[in-house]
Amino acid sequence: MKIVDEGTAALVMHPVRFKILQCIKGASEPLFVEQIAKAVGEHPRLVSHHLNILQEIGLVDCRYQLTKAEGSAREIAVRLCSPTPKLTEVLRDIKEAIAEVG
Amino acid sequence: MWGVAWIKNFGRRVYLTFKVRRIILISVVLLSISSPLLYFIPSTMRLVYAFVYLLLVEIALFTWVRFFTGSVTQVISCTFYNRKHKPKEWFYPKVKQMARRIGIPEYDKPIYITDNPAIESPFVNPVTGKITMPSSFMAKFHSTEIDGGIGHELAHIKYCRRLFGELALATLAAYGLTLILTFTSPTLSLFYLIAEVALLMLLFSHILRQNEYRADSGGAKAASPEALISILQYFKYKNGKDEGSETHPSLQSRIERLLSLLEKSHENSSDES
Repeated sequence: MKIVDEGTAALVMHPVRFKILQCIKGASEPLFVEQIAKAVGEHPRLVSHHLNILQEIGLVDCRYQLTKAEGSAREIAVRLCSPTPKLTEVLRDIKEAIAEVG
Repeated sequence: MWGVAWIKNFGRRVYLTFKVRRIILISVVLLSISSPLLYFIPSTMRLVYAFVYLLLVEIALFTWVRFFTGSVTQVISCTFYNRKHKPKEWFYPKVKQMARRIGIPEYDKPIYITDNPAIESPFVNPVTGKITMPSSFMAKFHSTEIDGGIGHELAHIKYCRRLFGELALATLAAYGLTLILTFTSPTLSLFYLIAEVALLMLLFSHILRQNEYRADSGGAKAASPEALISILQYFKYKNGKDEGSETHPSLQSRIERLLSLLEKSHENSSDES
């Protein structure tokens, strides 16, 4: 299986990373770090750490965007994350692999 | 063979959590130290005391022997495995840099990679400074997280002298206490000897657990707290049971301490910006 050979499956099989992936995949629009952190109940910096890994293996696409912060006049840069086509492929492969074993 | 099987099954049936084991040890220490009271209580109460005391000592002995033999068996099996399958040396250039960051100026040893399936996470021999890492661990985690694991082990090397110093002090303190108590009532020296051993176990356990917290913060400094938290979260999820042991605190408490470190550095970086 390709995802097992290249090591993607092992990296995805982390409980927090898996939660983050599900959160990003289930969202209708790109989410920023604070939103994901709230949704998965983890520290934003921890979420950033996992997003770096997921971006490196090509499962998540991240870009920075300036946005107005709540209660503040100045704009801040937020990291917006969206799923890549590879994520759908990997999640499907994992599902198939689990079905095969089960 | 049926005897071995029976002992194994019995061991599984009477599994006690770390908290209970600690309470038993504290009770043994308290009952041993308060043994002079035996002179002042009625004989029936003495019988009750003897029954409870012996029961607690036996349980403490049984659980500690099991923990000790488990650890020794693992060390022996690893030694035998390493003789058959020599661990591969991995000269990781980042190690030197990480070691310097936590105050070990000259560390130039390789990391030893083992395929031993019995080992799940990296470990270090603090005396020789040899870090061993299972290949399964390397396959599971990202390079930044592997750095976190190495950083944790490097911190163990850094705090090795402090650890041995603390263990020596604890031994002296327990011995000193027993000596003083034995001088006050020599006939009860056996009780005090048991108190000494139980107290030593408690102190050693406390010191080793504190050392683990220190290694965590050292590892966070060498690599990053996020990397270590990620590793601990994985093992917490995988193991399911998370109560800690005589040498390691619970994964949840270690994660919480690292999260507070993360929170502090997050606040500092926010203040600076």
